[in-house]
Amino acid sequence: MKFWIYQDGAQKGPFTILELFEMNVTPQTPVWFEGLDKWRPASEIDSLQALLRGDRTPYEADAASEGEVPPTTDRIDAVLVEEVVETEPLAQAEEPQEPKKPASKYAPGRRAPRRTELPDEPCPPTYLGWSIFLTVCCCSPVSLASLVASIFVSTYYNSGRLDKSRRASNIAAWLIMVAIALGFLPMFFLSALTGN
Amino acid sequence: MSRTSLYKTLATVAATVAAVALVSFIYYNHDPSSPAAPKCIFRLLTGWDCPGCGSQRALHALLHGQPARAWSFNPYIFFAVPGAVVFILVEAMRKSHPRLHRALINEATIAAVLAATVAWWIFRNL
Repeated sequence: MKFWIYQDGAQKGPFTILELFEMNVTPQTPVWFEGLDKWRPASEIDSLQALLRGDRTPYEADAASEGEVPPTTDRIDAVLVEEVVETEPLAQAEEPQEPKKPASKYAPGRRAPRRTELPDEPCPPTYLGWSIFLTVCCCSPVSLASLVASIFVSTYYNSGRLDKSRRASNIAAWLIMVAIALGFLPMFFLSALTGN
Repeated sequence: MSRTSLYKTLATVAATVAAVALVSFIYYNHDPSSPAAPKCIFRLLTGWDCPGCGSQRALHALLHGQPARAWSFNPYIFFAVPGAVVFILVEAMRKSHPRLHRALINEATIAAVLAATVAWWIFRNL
């Protein structure tokens, strides 16, 4: 059995249960494994109780199983961690907003439930279409470099490393802007300079 | 679809139509074969064609109803531009259609696009 956890703003995994002992899993850490309907705090999962006590013995015995698929990230809900009741419906509103603005509706002084937003986030933009478009109109080999960055966006996203995927997505966006600059600006300057 | 995102979509569509109309107007009236047209920097520096070289002349020919001539300037754009439009749309809808996004935009497709572009680039300079 493979486990995914959500920690420090990123989805991590897959881990075997023995590897989880190295990951500082707390009772509040959201956990997901194949067959679980959504992310749940570790304290709610029976098979992790010994882990939370720091007791390896129940797991040493059946340490060998394998072959799980990564979580289908578009179906994962956000959960309210902590024992605060789920007062509002979970994140699947009719229009999924950018999951980057947690709990801003709570005034700073009030005690607000700490809301951990989980990666129900779609794949960061790969800018594939823009890169292709730029190979035509900006005539710049830089747009091919942004295609390479797009591959990394997809690869990292599919292996569950959202943070790295997002970074590759940013790099792709920058490369596209560089391609536009290199493609468009010199075209006009050079045609002026060469006197044509 | 909420109201703001509807407005956003409408604004994007309007801006796209305006941009396409403007570009079409410019390239209909000005022949990019003339020396005043913008040049490709890669070609100026190396003397080789880039994957997109010829697309301005091809667009001009296409707007004047000469698809065969356009094809001879640059056949690549006949695949690249529609492909780019499809991918941009799929990417824009990735929140509402994550499955479609995953099926169309993944390592395999991007790598194939990259390989095809590089192959075309090498081939046209042989």
